[in-house]
Amino acid sequence: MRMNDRAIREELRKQAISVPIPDDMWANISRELDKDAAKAVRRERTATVRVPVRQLLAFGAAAAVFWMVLIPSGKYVDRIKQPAAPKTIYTTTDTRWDIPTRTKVTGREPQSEPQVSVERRHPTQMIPTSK
Amino acid sequence: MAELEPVRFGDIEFALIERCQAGDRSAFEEIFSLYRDDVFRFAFLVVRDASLAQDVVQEAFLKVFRSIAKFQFRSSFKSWLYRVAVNEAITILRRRKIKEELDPAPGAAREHTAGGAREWQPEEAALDSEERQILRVAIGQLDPVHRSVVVLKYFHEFSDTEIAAVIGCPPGTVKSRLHRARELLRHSMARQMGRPDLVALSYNRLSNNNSPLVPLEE
Repeated sequence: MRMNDRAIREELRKQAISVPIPDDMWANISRELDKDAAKAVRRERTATVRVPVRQLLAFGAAAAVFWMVLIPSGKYVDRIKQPAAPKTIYTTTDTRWDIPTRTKVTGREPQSEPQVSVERRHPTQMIPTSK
Repeated sequence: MAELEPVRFGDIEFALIERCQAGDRSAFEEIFSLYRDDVFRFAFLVVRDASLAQDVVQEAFLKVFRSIAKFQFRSSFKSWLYRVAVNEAITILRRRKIKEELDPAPGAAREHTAGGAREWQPEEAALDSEERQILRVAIGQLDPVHRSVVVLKYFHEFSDTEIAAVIGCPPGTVKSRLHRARELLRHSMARQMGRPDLVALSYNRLSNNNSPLVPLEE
């Protein structure tokens, strides 16, 4: 089997010269370049129209953000920060389970400050504390 | 990337590129006429179809013209052009999913008729030596990446450094790709000639290579 560099070179040359060079390539390229140029001109024309549209859109977006963030902050934020105190009385049907209750003092706690632990109780086990 | 020496541009080429960068289309036409034949032959040898090669050339030159403003004369214009052409050829081949023919005669006939080339004549095949036919099929069975390297080396007679600049890899990788391409050719030729001993030998050589075995057919 003969496979040397010269054989490869000759074979490639033979294949390459067997096909003629098409003569319409530049015409096709030129047509595409014309399309590019026309597209660029069109883009330039529309760009002058688009600028105010974009600016308007940006202004609208900024106004929306301003309304959504700044306006509620004055009127409603206080209400969110200081909710009205509940005036309800705990009953056995109350579903709020995590109400802090006082537990017995065992005497092991340091005397300096009274230890208050929080335990969770089911509403049925809940005893209303008298003040 | 291959470390290249500073590129020296010819005055004419430099002036043409500068005129192109300024948007002068006639300068680009001159560049096109300078490189058209070489790039078309390169594309034809890689894609093995005249109409596809024409597409490759047109797309490559369009891409070059569209981005010539960014060309900074750091590399050779020729290398850049060929790099675009290689990428375009591989993209077109992948896009159209061309399957290489195992049978040389009908494949060759279709290749040459496509794009208005002269038709393949059976008597020419008879005149060709059997080994040449086998080699032709073997080259056709190479994958596009290896075929590009082979064409640049043996047809365009680029140096390893120039091929490295085109392919975008170190010169060492070019050498190993060339070596592998030769082994693939040997393997394919041995298989066609019905020599299982040579097929096994070339298969062992290919398997010992670090890179994965490239399939002969796409």
